[in-house]
Amino acid sequence: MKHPIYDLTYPGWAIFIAAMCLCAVGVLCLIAAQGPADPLAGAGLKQLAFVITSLAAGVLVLAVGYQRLGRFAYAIFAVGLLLLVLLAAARAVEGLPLIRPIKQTYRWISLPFISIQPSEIMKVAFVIGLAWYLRHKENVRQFKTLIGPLALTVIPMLLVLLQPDLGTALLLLPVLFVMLFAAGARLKHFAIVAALALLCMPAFWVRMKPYQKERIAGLLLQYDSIKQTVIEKPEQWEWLCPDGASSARRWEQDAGYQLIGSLGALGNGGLSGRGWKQGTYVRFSALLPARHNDFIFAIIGEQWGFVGCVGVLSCYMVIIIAGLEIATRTADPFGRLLAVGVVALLATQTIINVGMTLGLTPITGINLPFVSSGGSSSVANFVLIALLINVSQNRPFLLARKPFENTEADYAGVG
Amino acid sequence: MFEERLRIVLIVLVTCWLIVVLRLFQLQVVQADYYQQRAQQRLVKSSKPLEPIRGRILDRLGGVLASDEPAWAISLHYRILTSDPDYHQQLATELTGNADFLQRHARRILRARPISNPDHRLVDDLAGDLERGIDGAWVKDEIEGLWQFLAQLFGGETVDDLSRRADEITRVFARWKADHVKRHHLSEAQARKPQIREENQCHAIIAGLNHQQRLYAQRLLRQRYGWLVDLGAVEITDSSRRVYHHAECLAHVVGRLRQVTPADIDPDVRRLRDTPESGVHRDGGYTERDLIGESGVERMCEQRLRGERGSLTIYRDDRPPRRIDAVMGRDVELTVDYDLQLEVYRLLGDSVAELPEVPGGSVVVLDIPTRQVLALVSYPAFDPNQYRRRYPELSRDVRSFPLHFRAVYRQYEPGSIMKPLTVLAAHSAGLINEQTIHECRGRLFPDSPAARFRCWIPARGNQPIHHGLINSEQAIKGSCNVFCFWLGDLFRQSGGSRAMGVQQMCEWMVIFGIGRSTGIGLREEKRGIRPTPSYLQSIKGRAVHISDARNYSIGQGEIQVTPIQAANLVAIYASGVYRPVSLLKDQNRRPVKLPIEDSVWRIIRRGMYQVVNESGGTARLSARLDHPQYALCGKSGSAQTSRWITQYRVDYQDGDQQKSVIIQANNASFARSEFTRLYPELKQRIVDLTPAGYWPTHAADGREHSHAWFVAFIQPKGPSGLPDWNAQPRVAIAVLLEFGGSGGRTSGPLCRDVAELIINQFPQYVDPQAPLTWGFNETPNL
Repeated sequence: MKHPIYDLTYPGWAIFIAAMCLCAVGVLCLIAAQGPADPLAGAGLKQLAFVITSLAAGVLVLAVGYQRLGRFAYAIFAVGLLLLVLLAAARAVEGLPLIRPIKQTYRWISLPFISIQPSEIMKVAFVIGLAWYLRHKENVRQFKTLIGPLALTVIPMLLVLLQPDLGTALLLLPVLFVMLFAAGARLKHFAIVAALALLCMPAFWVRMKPYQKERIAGLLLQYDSIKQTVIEKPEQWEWLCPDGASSARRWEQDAGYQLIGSLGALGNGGLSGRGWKQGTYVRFSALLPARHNDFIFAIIGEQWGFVGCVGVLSCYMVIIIAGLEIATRTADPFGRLLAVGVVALLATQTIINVGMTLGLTPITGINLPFVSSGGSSSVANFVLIALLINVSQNRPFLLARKPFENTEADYAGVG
Repeated sequence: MFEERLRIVLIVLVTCWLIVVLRLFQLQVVQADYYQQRAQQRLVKSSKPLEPIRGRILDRLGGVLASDEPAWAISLHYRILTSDPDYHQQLATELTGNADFLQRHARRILRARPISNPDHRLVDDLAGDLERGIDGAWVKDEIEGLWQFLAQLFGGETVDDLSRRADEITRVFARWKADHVKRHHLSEAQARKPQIREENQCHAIIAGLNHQQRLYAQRLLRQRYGWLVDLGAVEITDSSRRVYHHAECLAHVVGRLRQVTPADIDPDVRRLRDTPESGVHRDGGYTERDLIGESGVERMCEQRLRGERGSLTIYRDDRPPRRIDAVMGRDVELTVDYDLQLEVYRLLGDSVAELPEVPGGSVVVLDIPTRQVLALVSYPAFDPNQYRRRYPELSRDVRSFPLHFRAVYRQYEPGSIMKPLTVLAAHSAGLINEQTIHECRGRLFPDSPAARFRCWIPARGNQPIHHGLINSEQAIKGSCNVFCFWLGDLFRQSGGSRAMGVQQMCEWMVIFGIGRSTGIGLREEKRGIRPTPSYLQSIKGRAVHISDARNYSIGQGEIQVTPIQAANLVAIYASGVYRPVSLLKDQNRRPVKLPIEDSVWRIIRRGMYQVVNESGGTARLSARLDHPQYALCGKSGSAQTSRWITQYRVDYQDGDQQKSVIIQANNASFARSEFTRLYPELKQRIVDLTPAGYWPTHAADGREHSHAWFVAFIQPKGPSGLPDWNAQPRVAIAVLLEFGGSGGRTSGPLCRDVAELIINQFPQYVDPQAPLTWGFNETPNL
């Protein structure tokens, strides 16, 4: 029996309500963050419009059904890749229509009324494509067939890296690993891949731009004691701070400015927060520049304090637990992998974003799902949870009519 | 299996969730106070320092010796200093862009740089011509003219001087910019544009203009380069400068300022200043542009003079700006009388000019009861307002050392002015008494063929001249060496060993302030040398010799004092009270009565009276003062010393040959640095340095070179015309002439002139009744 579209199922409702709460928090933050002559003016309403558009997109996905989408998985993936290639081409060829660099990065395709961010489309396409590929047992158990998914990951990663957008590129790796893990890949294959990744690390480090290194250095420089040793003995820290003492000394005004601002905002919130629209960092955008998207969690923290932060994080936990619940209840391999992928994607984004706000992970351009402003990401996130809900709407017995591509028995003996 | 793996995924995610929540707890609950405080600080948008005015330095009567005066500077735009062609182009565009503006300036520009014949045409046409003629190259020419104009404005400077100064200014900011460009990964095209604030500001190129100079410069600039002034490329900016109103005579005492160095800047303060949002300008801290006292009272009273920096804080929210006014520096009142100082400086200058061998000298006048300095003169000196310009020549004068503050910085053998001390010490130690007499037969060992330990009176022909049988009073009057040698021997004998004898003498020297600071507070002050046995061992590397006690008892050997110590010494002779010397009116030091009986003091005071006033006194002929009310009591000193080195021969290797060159220097390391300055490429080739020139130039022909001392105090006379020993003497004078020869003959007259000057023109300082001197009526705290 298939649930009708309007029956979201219990975990589905939980996910939907949690997501809507997060959206509400986001809109409130954007309204609070806009000052009197602020370029953010109207950002809150705009975001509300995005949310409504995204809801429509979600309904569309529910209507179409994830299995039908699955059949077009590779096509969707190809479209995503194509858009990324276009962006990459824009770097090489000056004056391509619709694509303009913003802050020297090529991330957006500007259409007449709206700009879209192909990397957001790619995220969705990647999860669907990977789930579609991994639903076959034989694709998972042998190493040579794992090269496929690796390629599926690495190609979009490289294209996103070219934008350059290190954060989004690195986002795909954890999702791949979680999905492979859930799909039942052998642990020794993981070990091989991990070893390869470790071997690539030095090359990767060398290729990194100074500002990217600076962001990683920021994880250490935020502590005064470490900063002092860098200033005193720059030669020992040259691998981390090529500029040595001078960059460390100016860290708070330079590379560390955002992190100092975000920690300051969170700390200023205290236990219960300063209140909506209140707080130093909320009111003065100069103190926390990217507070409407990347660092929105900081101003949540300043306005609603520890209590508010834990509330927001609990919403994500609800989505994660409900998502994993859906994955366990579903017997359809594509559906369950899709569910795991969606959960992994949302969870990784959340952890990286919140982590960077708290100074636990390097600063990247990854925003907070459902909360940060942005049309493309909002639509993408709603499409993702719509897929999740859609999976939950398909009961196991419905699948029983079709032959299993991958049965419980196939997992036996592996662990 | 699938569930198993999902559980692992869930566990990992929950763990991450917990880590995040813990970190949040740390930030928002544990460290909340810290961050809330920080948030308050970050509400400060900008904080601008408000500079205080440095306190004045006043003399005893309130005359201003040094003060901050308003001053002006001609400043040029940074991009003129760097002669940036883009900026020239920009100026050209700005000049021609506004027709009214161009028209306003057209006639003046054309008058200076005719394009065609301007007199027969209308201004409109001219502006048109001009407009066509103005481009970047034209502006460049115009600015080259501006440099010429500025160099000639006040004369005495060349375009090279100015451009060197411009380089100094731009070098600093170029470094800042390079940092900025590197940090923000700017492209080359971006780096060519102005990136830091200083690149859009004007910087002082000719500073320290007074009011008249400013008006003059303003008028001429307006006339000739009015358009550059209007476009903000040339500015006349306000500043202040330290002006020294005294002539040379107080240069050393008042001292001077210098730019702060990184070492002066408290690193904590620098850190605070580096974070603009903290809004903290710690008042105690120096910034790179500050001036700090380098010498003299400017340095000694730096804290008091400096004042406190204020701040103007502007907030991000709607709070009104907070202004903390700068606290003006407090004035410092010296005890020095400017008029007296000036007169004494002239007298000393005249004496030095008369004596060809004397490179310089010093006179110190103290008020005895309070030990306030009335005059503290060093000669030669320099004009403090010209210091910077004349520094190279001043610092290289290795003969007369105009930069040395002789009165407190140079140390000399005291010679015979030490003898009263020796006599006092011997009496108090019970080695001799008033009845003790000793025979001087010209030498300590008259029967020995060796001519050592002679008395100072030379034998004339075969006629031995000596003091004969004398008591201690007569020993001082005649400055008998033999008597004092004998006292030195008595110290050695009573001490039980050579070292103990010297040690005992040194203990007496401490009481009289030799080898320790006079407490005047000047940072230049040297303490003199008190040759204790441990000093001899550690510095000179030798044990105490049998002759040491004898030499020290006549003020020769290693022992050295500064002129101010000599003045304090004679003040002690006159009063029996030790008291630290004061240069500031509010220095109030505790006097200490020395543990010596009055009768013993009388002996040396009578002796010193006889030196000047009785037949047989060493300075009776040269320093006698005839005055009905006051008598001069003094002691001469001719302190034997070695010559000064003034030149070095530097031998260096030039190819195969060894060459040499004469360098003016007073020590080897200065000679080395001078040589390196003159011949930088030969730095590594120096083979040897040997002294090649001396001052005085001739070698000692039979007689030794000696510094001439004369120390004296002015004692009121009684009705009988003899000194009234119950009256309190007021003024102590110490005179030193370097290489002056006989103290009685050269320094004595000068000392007499100074005493006369004080008695006649400054009677308030000698009158025992006049309560003019602060603290005179207080009894010493015994």
